[in-house]
Amino acid sequence: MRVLLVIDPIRDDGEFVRQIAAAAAGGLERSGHDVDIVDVVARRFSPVMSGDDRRSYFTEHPLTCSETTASADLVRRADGLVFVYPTTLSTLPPGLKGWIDRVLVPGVAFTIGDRTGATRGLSNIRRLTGITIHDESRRAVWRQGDQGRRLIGRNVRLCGGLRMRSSWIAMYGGTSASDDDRVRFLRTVERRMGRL
Amino acid sequence: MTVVVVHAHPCRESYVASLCERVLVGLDRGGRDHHFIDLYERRYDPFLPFPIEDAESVAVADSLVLVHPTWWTSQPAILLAWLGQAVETELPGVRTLVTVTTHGGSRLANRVAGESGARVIDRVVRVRCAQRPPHRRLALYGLDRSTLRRRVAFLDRVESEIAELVE
Repeated sequence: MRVLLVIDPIRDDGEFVRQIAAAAAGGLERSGHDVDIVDVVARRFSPVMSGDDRRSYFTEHPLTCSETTASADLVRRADGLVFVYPTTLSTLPPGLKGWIDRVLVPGVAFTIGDRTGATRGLSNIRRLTGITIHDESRRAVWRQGDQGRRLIGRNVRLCGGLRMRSSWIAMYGGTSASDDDRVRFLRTVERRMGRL
Repeated sequence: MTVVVVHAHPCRESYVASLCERVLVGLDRGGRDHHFIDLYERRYDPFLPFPIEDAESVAVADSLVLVHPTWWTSQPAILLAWLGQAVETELPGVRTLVTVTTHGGSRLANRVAGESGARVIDRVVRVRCAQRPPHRRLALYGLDRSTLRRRVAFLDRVESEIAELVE
């Protein structure tokens, strides 16, 4: 299986997000999968959909520049898609939301028919996984809702085929976590991604 | 106290940009001062510190009006970034919180897909306003397959509701 990791290490704990991605990649590679990584911060991927992007959105060629084309090619080649990010405002950080806005366009994630509305286009993706760190406790997250998980687990998931399986790995109480907690979480990520 | 209007669509010729014009007309009709922030026009950069001008205007705002398209059931990344910076400190005066938005898909399709954008405002941004204002959401669903008549009707509705809301 070929797995694409899209990671957004924004914020001070950026290093931890990168460590999580490395642990996920390690687990996947040990099980014989190929891994591609898109680090939206390291690549200086612009999260802002431009006027050009938007005007081309519903045309034959919705990808207007090399950064979005490169990411879209990786999505088309992948069998698995994994998002790694710290939850901000209970949802995806802007960098990752912008990647989704600009890369998962018609012809990549879905197609829009004249009569049918949107139809699924991520049928190549068999596994969808989200890995996130919450600052707040599990209880606080439960109370305010997890909009990032909703966006990926529902909206992105709906673009996949019936065979797509999805999973979720989350760390709660990130602000009060000790080094031990972090190491334990990295091990969990590695173990669970190895079983994918 | 003023009304802060934030607009987040990259294209001037877009329907959302027309909605935004009608929001401003509605505010004039209601005789309200407003501070207009066009994120694209101003080339707002998510990776720079929050503009001082914006910080000052939200600190004294009694109303916040967000005008944006809905992409992936949520706000465009540029607006999520701005909101994240705007609510880093609690907003003391906001008593009216309004979203004016469009959805390409139907109401049902968006319900199934999770409506995460509406929930970000309801459950996070709203709670960061000291007065816990209700969130008024004016949304046109099914824009991709809408008729001209529906679009015009929604423009009129937005103008008159805004004029009443912020009085």
